[in-house]
Amino acid sequence: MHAIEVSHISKKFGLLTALDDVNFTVSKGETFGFLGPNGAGKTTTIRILTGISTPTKGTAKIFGKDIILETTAARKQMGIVHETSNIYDDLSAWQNLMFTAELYTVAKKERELRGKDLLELFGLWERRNDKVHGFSKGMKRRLTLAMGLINNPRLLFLDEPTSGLDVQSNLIIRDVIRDLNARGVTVFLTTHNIEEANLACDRVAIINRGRIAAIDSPERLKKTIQSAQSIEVAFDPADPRRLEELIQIPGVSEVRKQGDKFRLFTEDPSEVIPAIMEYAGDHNSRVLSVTTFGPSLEDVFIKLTGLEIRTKGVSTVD
Amino acid sequence: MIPGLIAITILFSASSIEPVSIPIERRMKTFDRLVSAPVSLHAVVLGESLSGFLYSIGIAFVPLVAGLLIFGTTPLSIVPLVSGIFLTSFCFATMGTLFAAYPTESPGDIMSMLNMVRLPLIFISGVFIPLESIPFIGQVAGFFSPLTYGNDLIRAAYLGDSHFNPLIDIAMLCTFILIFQLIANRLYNKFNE
Ligand SMILES: Nc1ncnc2c1ncn2[C@@H]1O[C@H](COP(=O)(O)OP(=O)(O)OP(=O)(O)O)[C@@H](O)[C@H]1O
Ligand SMILES: [Mg+2]
Repeated sequence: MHAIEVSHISKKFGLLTALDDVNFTVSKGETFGFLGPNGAGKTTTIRILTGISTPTKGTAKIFGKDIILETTAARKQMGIVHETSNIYDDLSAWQNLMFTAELYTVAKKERELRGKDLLELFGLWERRNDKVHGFSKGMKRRLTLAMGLINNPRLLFLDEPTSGLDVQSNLIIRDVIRDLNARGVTVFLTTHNIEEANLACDRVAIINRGRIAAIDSPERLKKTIQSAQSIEVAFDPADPRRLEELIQIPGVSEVRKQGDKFRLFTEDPSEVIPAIMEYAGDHNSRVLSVTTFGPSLEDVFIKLTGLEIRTKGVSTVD
Repeated sequence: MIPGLIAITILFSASSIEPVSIPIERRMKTFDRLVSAPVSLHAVVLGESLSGFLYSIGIAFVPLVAGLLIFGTTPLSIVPLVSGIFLTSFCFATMGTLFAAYPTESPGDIMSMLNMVRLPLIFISGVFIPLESIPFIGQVAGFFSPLTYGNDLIRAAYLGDSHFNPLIDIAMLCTFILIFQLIANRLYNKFNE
C-alpha cells in the first residue's frame, strides 16, 4: 500500500485545464516534492489530495482510503499546511493549536503535551499566549506548521512551506522535515524552489501547466541531461577576450563569462580539462582554479519546462 | 406586538452571523482548515449554524425582557415560547449558513441576496398583517415561509391563540431546518472548488 496513489486525475476550472491526467505514487516514509512554476497546478493537486476540491476525473487514495469516498478516514491520517498561513488572528498561538487539535479529535492530555512540544520546537513557546495578530510572517508560518503536526499525522502536506521566509525560519522548517522523515512520516511538499526540492526530497515530480514532465530522484533527474555539465575556470591574468578562444576548444558547446571566471559547457569534462591546461600554457597564463559542475536540478527544470526559451539569459528560476 | 417583534429579531439576528463570518473565513483561508478537517460537512454546517443560533437567542431576550418590563406583556405558556425561540433561531441560523455557501469573500454579496428573501418574508408570514387578512396568493406563499410557523408558535405562547396547531408549527420548523441543512450541504459540496 502506498501513502499516496493518484491515478488519472484531471481538474478543469471552466475552460481552463489545471491538471491534465496526473499519475504518481508516493511510498510510505518518502519525502516527495512537487516542483513547478507558478500556476503549474501544485496547490490544486494538494487541494484534491486533501479532499477540499473534487477532481473532474480520476481517483486518489491516501493509505488505501479513497479521498472522495472515504474522506474522513483519509483525512484522519494527514496533517495539512496550507499555502497561506491560515490561522485565527484574534486567537492566541496556544488557542489556535488547541482548536486544530480538537478538529482532529486529539485527546486533551495528548494535545496539551504535543502543543507544548511543538511550540517549543518552533520557537514560539514564549509567545504562546499572545494573539497571532501581531506575529511576523515567519512566526505565523511556523505556527501553521505546528498546527499541521498537532494530530501526529502519518502524512504531511506542505504547500510551499518556506517561501518568503528568512534563513532561520527556513532552517527550522527544513530540520523539522528531515526529522519527520527520519521518524517514518511521509511528506508531500510543493515548492518552486529547486534547491529546496534537491535538499529535502527523495523523489521529485516536475509539473508544468498541469502535466507531470518527469518523476525521479534529484540525482537521476540530473543524469538525464549530461550536456549540462560544466567547468568553471579562472585564469591569471583574467582577460575577457578569452571567450572567443575558449569556444574553439573541441567538445565545448558553450562558454559564458561569469565575473572573472569562465563557464565552459561540455558533455565530457575529462576531455576538456587537459585542453584548457594546454590553452593556458600556449597563452602564457596560469590557471588559478578549475571546478567541475554536474547538471543542477535547475538545468533539468529549465529543460523540461521549456522555461529557457521564455527567459533566455536568466539562469535562476526562483 | 411583542411576539412579532421577537420573531423578526430572531429572523434578522440568527441569519446574519454566517453570511459575515464565512466570507471572512474564506478570505483568511481559515475556512479551508474547516473543510479539510476530518469532520463531515454536515458537522461543519451544523457547527457554523450553532453560532448564529446562540447569538440570536441572546438577542431575542431584548424584546422579551422589554415586553415584560416596559409593556407588562408576559408569556402565558413556556413550552411554546422556548420551542418557538429555539427552533426559529436554529432555522434562520441554518438559512444564513445556506446563503453563505455562495463562494464569495465579501459579506456584502451574501447580505444583499439574503435581504431579497428576508424582507418579503416579513410580509407574508403574518407578523404585522394577520394571515387571515392577506390576499390568498400571499397566504399560499406564507405556507412556505418558516417565519410563519415561528411567529405563530411565539404568538401561541403569548396569546394562547394561534393560526395553526403549535405541534404543526414545531413540525414545520423542524422540516425547514432539515431541508436547509441538506441544501446547504449540497451547495458547500458543489462550490468547493
Ligand atoms: N478556484 C479556482 N478557479 C479557477 N481557476 C483556478 C482555481 N484554482 C486554481 N485555478 C487555476 O488553476 C491553475 C493552477 O493553479 P494552482 O494554484 O494549482 O497553481 P500553483 O502551482 O499552486 O501555483 P503557485 O506556485 O502560484 O502557488 C492556475 O491557472 C489557476 O489560475
Ligand atoms: Mg500554489
